[in-house]
Amino acid sequence: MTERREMRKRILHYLLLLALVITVNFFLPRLLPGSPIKTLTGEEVGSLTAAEKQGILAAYDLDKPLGKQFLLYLRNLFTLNWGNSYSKRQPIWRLIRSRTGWTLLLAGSNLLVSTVIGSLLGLFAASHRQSRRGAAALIGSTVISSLPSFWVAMILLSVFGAQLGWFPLYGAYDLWGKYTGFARFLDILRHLALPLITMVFTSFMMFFTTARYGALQVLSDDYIKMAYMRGISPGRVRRAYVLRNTWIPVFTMVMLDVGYLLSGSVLIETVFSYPGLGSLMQEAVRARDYPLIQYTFLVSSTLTIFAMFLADLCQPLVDPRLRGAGDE
Amino acid sequence: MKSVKRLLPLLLAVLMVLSLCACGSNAAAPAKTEPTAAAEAQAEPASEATPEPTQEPTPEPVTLTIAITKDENSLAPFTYVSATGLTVNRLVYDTLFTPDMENNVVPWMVEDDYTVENNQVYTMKLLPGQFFHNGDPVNAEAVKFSFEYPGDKNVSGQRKVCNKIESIEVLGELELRFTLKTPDVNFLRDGFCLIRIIDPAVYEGVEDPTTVEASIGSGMYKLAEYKTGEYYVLEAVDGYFRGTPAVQTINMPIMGDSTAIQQGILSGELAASTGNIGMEMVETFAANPDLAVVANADYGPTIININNERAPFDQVDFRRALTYAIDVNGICQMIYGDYALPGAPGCLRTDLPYANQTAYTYDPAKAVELLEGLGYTELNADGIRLDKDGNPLHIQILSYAESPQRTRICELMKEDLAEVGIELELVTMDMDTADTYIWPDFDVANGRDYDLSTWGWGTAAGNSYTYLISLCHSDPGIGTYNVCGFKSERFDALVNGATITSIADMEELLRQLQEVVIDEVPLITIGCPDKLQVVNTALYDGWQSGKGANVVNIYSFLPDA
Repeated sequence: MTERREMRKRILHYLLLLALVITVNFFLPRLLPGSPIKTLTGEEVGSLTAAEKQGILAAYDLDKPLGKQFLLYLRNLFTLNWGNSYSKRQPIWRLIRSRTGWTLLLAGSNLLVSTVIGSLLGLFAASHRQSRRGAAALIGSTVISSLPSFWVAMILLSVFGAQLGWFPLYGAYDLWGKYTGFARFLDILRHLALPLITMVFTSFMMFFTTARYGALQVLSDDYIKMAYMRGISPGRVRRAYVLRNTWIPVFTMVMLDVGYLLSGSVLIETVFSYPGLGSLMQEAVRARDYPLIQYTFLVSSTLTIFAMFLADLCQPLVDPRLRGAGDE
Repeated sequence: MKSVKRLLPLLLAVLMVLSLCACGSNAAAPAKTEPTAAAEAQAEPASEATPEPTQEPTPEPVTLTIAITKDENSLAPFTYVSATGLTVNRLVYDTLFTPDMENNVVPWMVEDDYTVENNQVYTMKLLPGQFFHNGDPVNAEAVKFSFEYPGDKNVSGQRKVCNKIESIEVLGELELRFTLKTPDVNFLRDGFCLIRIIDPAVYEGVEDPTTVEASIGSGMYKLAEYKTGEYYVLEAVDGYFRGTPAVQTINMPIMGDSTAIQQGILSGELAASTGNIGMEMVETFAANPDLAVVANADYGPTIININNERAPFDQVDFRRALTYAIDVNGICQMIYGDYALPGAPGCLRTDLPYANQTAYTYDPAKAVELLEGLGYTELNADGIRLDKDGNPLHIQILSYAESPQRTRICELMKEDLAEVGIELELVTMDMDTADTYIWPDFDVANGRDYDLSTWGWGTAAGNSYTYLISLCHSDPGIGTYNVCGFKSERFDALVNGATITSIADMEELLRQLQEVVIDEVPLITIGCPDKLQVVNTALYDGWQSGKGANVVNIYSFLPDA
C-alpha cells in the first residue's frame, strides 16, 4: 500500500516536472534577443518594410499575444502537429527523427565505452592506490580529461584523418559510397571512431572518479578485510564484493547520463560534421527557430525525465538496501 | 601465463581497431579513388609504342567533392539561407544576365543584341534550347512568371526587385520586354543578375513557395540529391545550352567547421570549399604543389559602425577624431596583409573608377587637438580623458564572437585609442545577439543600441551602385543599410534631387556623395578584404575565379570552348 502511494507520488512528481518543462520550453526561446524574422525572410530582410515584416510574422502567428501563442503551442504539441521548421522548411518530426539515431549511436557508444573504461581504470587505481601504477592511472586520467575537447578533436582529425588517412574526416557514413550490409556496418563504425574517441576522452573521468572513490570506500570496510582474512582470492573479492558495491554509484551516474543521450554534443558534431541533435539544436537557436528549439529541447528534456524515473525504479534492484525502505 | 592473460584483451582490442581501419579503408576505396580526367591523364601518358586503338577512349566522368559550409535547404530561390546558398544555387538556377570574371554584367540566357532604352525599357530574346530539369521548356512566359511570382511572396528576398517592374510584355515565344516604373541604372545587375528563372509548373498557385520541396531550375546542374544537414549531389545537365559541364558530378558535404574543411583540402579529400581561408593559412596551402590559392577582389567591406545618434558620436568632430586616432591602414595591413584594399573615408573601394582617392590619415596629434576642442582636456590617472562631468571617456565596441579577425581589429583599435586618451571596451557576443543591438529586427527605423561595432556587408551589397545611398540616406525606406543612424541634409538633398538616367549620372552623384561622407564621417571602413580560397588543381584544373566571384561558379564548370 505504502509502495503504491510512493509510486503514485513519484509519478505525479515527474508529471509536474514534465508540465514545467513543457511550459519553460515555450518561453525560453522567446527570451532570446532578436526574432525569427531573418530566418523567415532570408538574406534580403533589410529591404523589406516594417509592414511587410509584420505580415510575415502574422503568417506564423508570431504577432499574436503570448498567451494565445502558448495555447496554440499546447494544441499542436498534444495533437502531434509539430509543424515545419522555420529554418529547415521541413517537418520537425522528420528532422528530429533523422538525427536521433545518429545521436543515440554516438552518445550511447560514448556512455558505454566511458563507463567501462572509467570504471575499470577507477577500480584499478583504487586497488593499486599505494603503488606507482595507481598514481599513474590517476594522474594520467586527470591529464587526459583536462584536454579541451575541441583540441582533441582537431588533433585526431588532423593526424588520424588527414595525415594518416585511417579515418574519414566528415559524416556519419560514407556519403557517396552507398554501402550495404556488413560493409555499411564497418563504414559506420569507422566514421564513429574519431568522434567517439574524442567524447570518451572528456567523459570517462566522471566514471573513473566515481568508481575510484566508491572502491576506496568499500576497500576500507571491515568486511573486505574479513574476506581477505578468510582466504578468499583477491580476484574474487574484487569481483564479488568491491565491484558489486562500487557499481551502485556508477549506476546512478549512468542513469543520469542516459537522460542526456539526446542532447547531443554540438562541438563534436560540428568538427566532425556528424549529423546529430546537438548541432540541430544549435542551428535552431542561432536561427531563432522557435518551433524547432521547442521540440528538440522537449524531446531531450522528456528523455532526461524518463531516465530519472527509470533510475528511481531501478535503484532498489541494484541496491538491495533500498528494498523495503518504503514500507516504513 | 598471467601476463599473457592480461595482455590478451589489449592485443585483441588493438587488432580489432586495426582490422576496422583496414576493412574500412578497403570498403571506402571506390569513393576515394574514383579517377578524374586530370588524374588519368597523369597516370596513363600516351604511348606511341603500343598499338593505337581505332576509337578515342571515352574520358572518365569527373566527380569533385566540394565542401559547402552551410545547410542551404533545397537551394531553391525561396529557401536558401545565406550568400553561400546564392552562390551554389546559381549552378542550379539560371539568370538572364550574369557577372563575368571581371564583374561586368554580360547576357547569359539571352542574345547579345538586347536593347536598353533610357535604363527603363529592356527588350531581349532568349537563346534557344533551354529547358528546366523536368523537361519543360524555358520560354518567355516562364521568364515573365519568374519576375512576377516573387512580387507578393512574403518570404522572397526578390520582391523588392520584382516590384520595380511596371510591366512585362511577351512579344514572342522567346522574346520579352520589361518596362520599369522608373529608370534604374542598376537593374541589369541588381535585377536581371539576381532573379532566378523558375518553372511556372512548379510554383503556379503555390501561396507559400517555401513548401515546395523540389528544386527545379534550368541551370547547368540539377539537384540530384539533398539530405538535410548532410550533403548535396549536383549532376551535370547533358546538353545544357552552353555546353555539358566539364564536371559530371559535384558532391557537396555540409561541413560547418573550417578546420575540418582545411584538413580535407590538405589531404586531397576535398577539391575546394565554398568558404574562405584566413590569410594565416595561405603559406600552408601554397606549399602544397597540388593546391592553388586564389585571391580576388571581394566587394564586402569590413566596417566600424559609429552610432551617430548617441553622444559623443553625434558630434562630427568626435567622429573625425576617431579616424585620426585609429591607424586604419595599419590595422588593415596587420589583419589582411596584401589581401585587402585599404579602406577609404569615401566608403567605396578605391579601385572603382568613380571612387574618391582620399585615404585615411593616422594622426594622433590631430585627434588630440579635436578632442581638446570638444572639451576633453582633463585626463585621469590612467591617462583617460574626462568629460565635463568628470566621467572617463569610455566607449564600447560590439563584435561577433565568431570572428577572431574582427576581435583582433578591436584590440588594435583599443591600443590606438588609448594613446589619445579614449578607453575602448571590447564586448563580444554571438552574431545573432549582436545584430539585435546594431540592427534591431533588421529595420534601421527601430534605432540602435551600441557605441561602436564591427560590421560588414556582403558582396551583393558592396557591389551595387546604390550601396552608398543605402548606407547613408536618412530615410529608412531608402537608407535601408543605415545602421549608423547617419543624418545629413546635404547627403539627402543630393540623392533626392538627383535625376539618374545613365551610369554617368549615377557615378557623378556618387562622387558628390563621397565628398559628403568624407567630411561628415558616418563610419570607418577598415578595408575590403579579398576573397581567399584554395582549390585542388590536381583533381581538377578548370577552376575560374574573378572579382567578387566564388571559385564555385558557372565558369569553373563550363566545358572548354
